[in-house]
Amino acid sequence: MIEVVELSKSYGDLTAVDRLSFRVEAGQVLGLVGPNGAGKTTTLRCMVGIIPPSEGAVRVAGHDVARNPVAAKRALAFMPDEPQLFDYLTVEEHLRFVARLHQVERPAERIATLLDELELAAKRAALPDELSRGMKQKLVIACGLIHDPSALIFDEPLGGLDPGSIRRMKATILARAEAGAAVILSSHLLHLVEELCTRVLVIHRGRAVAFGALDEIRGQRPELEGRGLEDVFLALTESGA
Amino acid sequence: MTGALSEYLVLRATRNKFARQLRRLRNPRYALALLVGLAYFYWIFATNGGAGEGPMAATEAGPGLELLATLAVAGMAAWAWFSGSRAGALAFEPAEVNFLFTAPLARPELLRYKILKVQFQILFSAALVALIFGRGGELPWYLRLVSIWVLFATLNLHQMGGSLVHLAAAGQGRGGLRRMALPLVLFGAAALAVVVTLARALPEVQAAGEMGAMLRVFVGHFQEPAARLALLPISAVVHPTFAANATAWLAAMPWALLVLALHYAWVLRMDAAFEEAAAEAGRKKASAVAAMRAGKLGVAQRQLATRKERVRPSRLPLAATGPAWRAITWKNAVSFLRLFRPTTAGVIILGVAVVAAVGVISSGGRANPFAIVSGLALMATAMLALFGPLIVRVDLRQDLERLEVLRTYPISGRALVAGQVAAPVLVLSVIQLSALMLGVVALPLAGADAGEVRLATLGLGAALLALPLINTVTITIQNALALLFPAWSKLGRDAPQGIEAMGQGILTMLGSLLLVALALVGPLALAGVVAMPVYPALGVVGAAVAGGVAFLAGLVVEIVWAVAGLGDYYEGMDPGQAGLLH
Repeated sequence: MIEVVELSKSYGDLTAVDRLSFRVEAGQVLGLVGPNGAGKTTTLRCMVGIIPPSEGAVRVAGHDVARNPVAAKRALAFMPDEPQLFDYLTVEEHLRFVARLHQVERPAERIATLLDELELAAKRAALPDELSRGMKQKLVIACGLIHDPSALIFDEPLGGLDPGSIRRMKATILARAEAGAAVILSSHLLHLVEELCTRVLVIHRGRAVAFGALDEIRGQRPELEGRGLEDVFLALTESGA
Repeated sequence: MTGALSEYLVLRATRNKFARQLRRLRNPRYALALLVGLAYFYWIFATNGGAGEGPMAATEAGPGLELLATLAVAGMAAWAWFSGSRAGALAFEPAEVNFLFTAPLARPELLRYKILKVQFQILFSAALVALIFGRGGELPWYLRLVSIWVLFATLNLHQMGGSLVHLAAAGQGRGGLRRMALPLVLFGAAALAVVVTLARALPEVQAAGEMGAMLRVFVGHFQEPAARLALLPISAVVHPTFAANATAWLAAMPWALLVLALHYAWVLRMDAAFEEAAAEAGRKKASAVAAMRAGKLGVAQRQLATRKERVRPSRLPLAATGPAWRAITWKNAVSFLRLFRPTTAGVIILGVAVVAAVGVISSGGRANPFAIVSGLALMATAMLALFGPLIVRVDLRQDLERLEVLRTYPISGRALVAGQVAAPVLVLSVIQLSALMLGVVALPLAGADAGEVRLATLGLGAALLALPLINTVTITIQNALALLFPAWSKLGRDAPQGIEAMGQGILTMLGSLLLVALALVGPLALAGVVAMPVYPALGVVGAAVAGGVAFLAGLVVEIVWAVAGLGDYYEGMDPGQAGLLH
């Protein structure tokens, strides 16, 4: 479970995230959407402990990210949009390294499974500069899944993936949610969010402008009845809401 | 592309680049770095630090130096033919590939753009060489600068030509080679003449015995018609650089310009399909430059390599469980082992052997090679204690760029800092202690008596304890500077370049040396306080041992305090505000 309470982040006079509160239960997939500069990435970075929030709290699996970061981070995985890998570790060594940080039991078996699942086995001895963008993305995802986290946060997870990998990635996300993980998916691909997410959080200028299942959001705006997420999104973010 | 458009693009891009660098000077950090860099240059070139004439201007250098320079340029020109397949001289930046290669432009126009663009870099390099090697003398500095520029521009055109010949041969097979037959035959004949002259000269040069006589014999051989003819185009371009005065320069310059013009015409009339190789070379170069600016020399090397080296599997074990900091140390140690190639070790060993051999030869066989090796090993240990922490950067300095992933790991700040610092300490200590051991082992062979060897062995024992701790202090300081003042570290694309980078490097080095000195004050004072009362009862040895133990204890306390403080800072910091997130 992921719980965000009154989260705010300011840089001087600029408020990037403004009193954001929401909750993602186990088994749910939350879609985080918003225009460029809405505060999505800042929100995610606060949630996973990359940057400290100015106010508010984030709890992952019951652990406060600010007060008990090690326990909170053991339960979560963050997959950033831009794969960040270590220049001199091979694919397999990345997985060994992350497995050790998370104290994964029987890491060799887990690594073999993930290499097969994400079609990385043939590249196990390759350094990052020998990998395509999509392969790098897969490695980041493998590193995120290795400790079987109970909270998964994806920032644009399909960047650089080919159609086959996109299909498998969608299946992986849904499978993790079905297995009881709380998943947050931030993306500009609204059809992806509509397809995978049980709930949607629309943020604009750092504030939540809509939160809930798509039907619930549509119910609050009768003029959007029967419209897709794209129309809902544009109506919420372009009307000056 | 019309000529005007080509010039517009080059001039605008250069102007905007300088404007950006000027704007950056509003930031006191860059302005200070530039001032320090300029002050350093001034010290080197205009004051006693660089007193006297440069070798190019030295009147006593004579034809020997000019001949050596001519042969060096000949070697570089030959290399262009052997390494032409790399297409480095033809590298186009990714943006140029996007815009120019897709535009309706003929190949000669693209080449003309490339030649024009590279002239600014060549001018900068020529200015540096003129400052370093050509200061003083009767010939005005600007004339020497022009001749060096012409020399470099010709060499660059030659490299482009070599690449184009390779590409023509690869793309058009025998037909392509036939089209290039004349330059190939000319180059082959010239190379043969130079090699034969060298082979004939060497026995007589060796027999000459004394350096001046050796050089005279050498120059004499290259006065023979075949060698002169073979080196004629290169001599023509090199000669103005060594001109003694303006009159000699004016007489020599037309021939240099003629060779330059011939090269220009040769390159532009070649019809080789270079676009693919140029785009690939440009992509590699762009990645390598980005890696270099971030201080990642190994990545840059890999990017520029013609063939990707097979990755060696890491032999360092990593247990499945255990403290998290060890995983960080393991990761950094693996990085270092990938960076440190066997060839690097080979070059170091070869370098030591060459220095020892030169030492023995220059002393007329009187110097003991083992004494030289021992001295070098001791010197290397001391130098590494000072500068090693600046070189071995497999720690936070390399990882700060990846804070977005690092901060999501379940590891406390203190453990992370400890793990980061441990790897370079381990690496540096192993290298230093190996060098020290080599120095001590070589001592008996160098003729040291038993007492000296015993003393050196004791010193080695003390170093075994002290060096790792001193390294820990120095590397912790480097990591602290990177973490507390990330803008001053070589991080990412915004890292300064050129003179600014040099100034920043000097400032950070001075700052870190000052901090190291300050860090040693406390433990040294503690050593004194402990040793003094012990001295009357236990004598010099007892006082030294007690003082040494106190000194090491003082270092340990400092290290623990610093690592804990840095770890806490790391946990509480906002990488976004520190400018460490993309």
